[in-house]
Amino acid sequence: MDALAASFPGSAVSQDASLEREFEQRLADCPTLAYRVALGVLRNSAEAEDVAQEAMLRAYRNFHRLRDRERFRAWLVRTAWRLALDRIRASGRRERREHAAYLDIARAPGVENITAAREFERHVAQALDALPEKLRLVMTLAAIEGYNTSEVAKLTSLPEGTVKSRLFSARKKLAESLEWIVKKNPSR
Amino acid sequence: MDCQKKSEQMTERVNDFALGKVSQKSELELRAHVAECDACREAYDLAKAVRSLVDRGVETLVAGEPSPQFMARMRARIAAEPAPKPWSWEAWRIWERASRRPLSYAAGAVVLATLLIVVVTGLSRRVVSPPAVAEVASTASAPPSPVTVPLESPVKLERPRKNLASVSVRSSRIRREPEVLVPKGELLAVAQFYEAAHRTPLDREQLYAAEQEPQKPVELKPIEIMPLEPLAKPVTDSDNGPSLF
Repeated sequence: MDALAASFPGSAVSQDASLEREFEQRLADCPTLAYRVALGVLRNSAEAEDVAQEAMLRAYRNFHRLRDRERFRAWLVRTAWRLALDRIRASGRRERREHAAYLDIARAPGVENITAAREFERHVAQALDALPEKLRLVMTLAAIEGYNTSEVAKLTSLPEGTVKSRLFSARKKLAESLEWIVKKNPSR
Repeated sequence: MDCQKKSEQMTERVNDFALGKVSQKSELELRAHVAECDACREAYDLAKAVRSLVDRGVETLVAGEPSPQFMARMRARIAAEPAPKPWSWEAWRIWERASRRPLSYAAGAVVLATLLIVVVTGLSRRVVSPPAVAEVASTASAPPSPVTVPLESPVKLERPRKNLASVSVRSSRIRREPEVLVPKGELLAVAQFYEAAHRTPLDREQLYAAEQEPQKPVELKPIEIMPLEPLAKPVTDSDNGPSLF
């Protein structure tokens, strides 16, 4: 057992060296995914990090229970999504988050007018929050995965056709909410 | 496609096309139409711009990387996890074995539940009400018509025999109770047995009156047999209606 395993005394994973190594391999590329999923809900980097860590911790505790290890990413996404939603609901900070949404997120490259960009992001965030949960999840994951529907299908354990259909519905609803921005400012 | 007549439908189709919902067949058709029709091309361009804005906006919301300290903090949290106790590890192994064969365990639970139901219902059925007493009427002219005397409550023979019989039928619909057929003349012994068993006095006078009530003989009517008349003509298949085959 390596130094990492020795530092993980907590769960059943630490008692099995092969499990420990497998978990460590999957751990390498998953923090960003968990963080972005949480950020898509919370819009606050510190809280998103906290939720992502909690999701990873749960993954560590229950990794040996996961029969199909290939679905680790899907499992982690679901956990992070649920934890982020729970945090929003428990704290009742939806309103505060909406006001702070544009203060703490990474900026799109090439945006010159920061105020306008923040305003735009706020509108997008509001429109995204207004979506039904299943559409919001698919839209968020699609944005994370570069709108690759097969990847989203793997992450959500849904058929690809369902993902496409939900993605279309989400886009349509968002387009209805945000169309006025394009009409008002055709340069976008 | 005539988008002048059905402009709303066409705009909807073009919008859906731009947002990614279209079949392969319609895609070729719509692409060709958008290339030709200025109004639809304008609608398509607007929808494409909105889609791009939406996608970019959501991407912006989820863009970002966790801080460099993320992994270090996470390892610290994992290291702070309490070590499992030996008993809980054993319990977990049992649970894990069970969870690997959920169907067999579920089937076992169903069998146990079924057995439990059978045992409980069997026990409840063993609480049986006392038997009813009946007397065999031995008149030669009539078939035996038992007089049913339910012994669940003190016997009251104020009603005529006909009503008692109907009560017996009703109760038998609810629960089929055992009956005791009493040969004529032994009603006294049964009454004594009932009184000894239930410690309740029986109205013997009414019981005897019911016993002594004469049975009505069954009235037999001769059956009238009508002679068959010969047929006017022989029966053919056509007389029996259309053939089935």
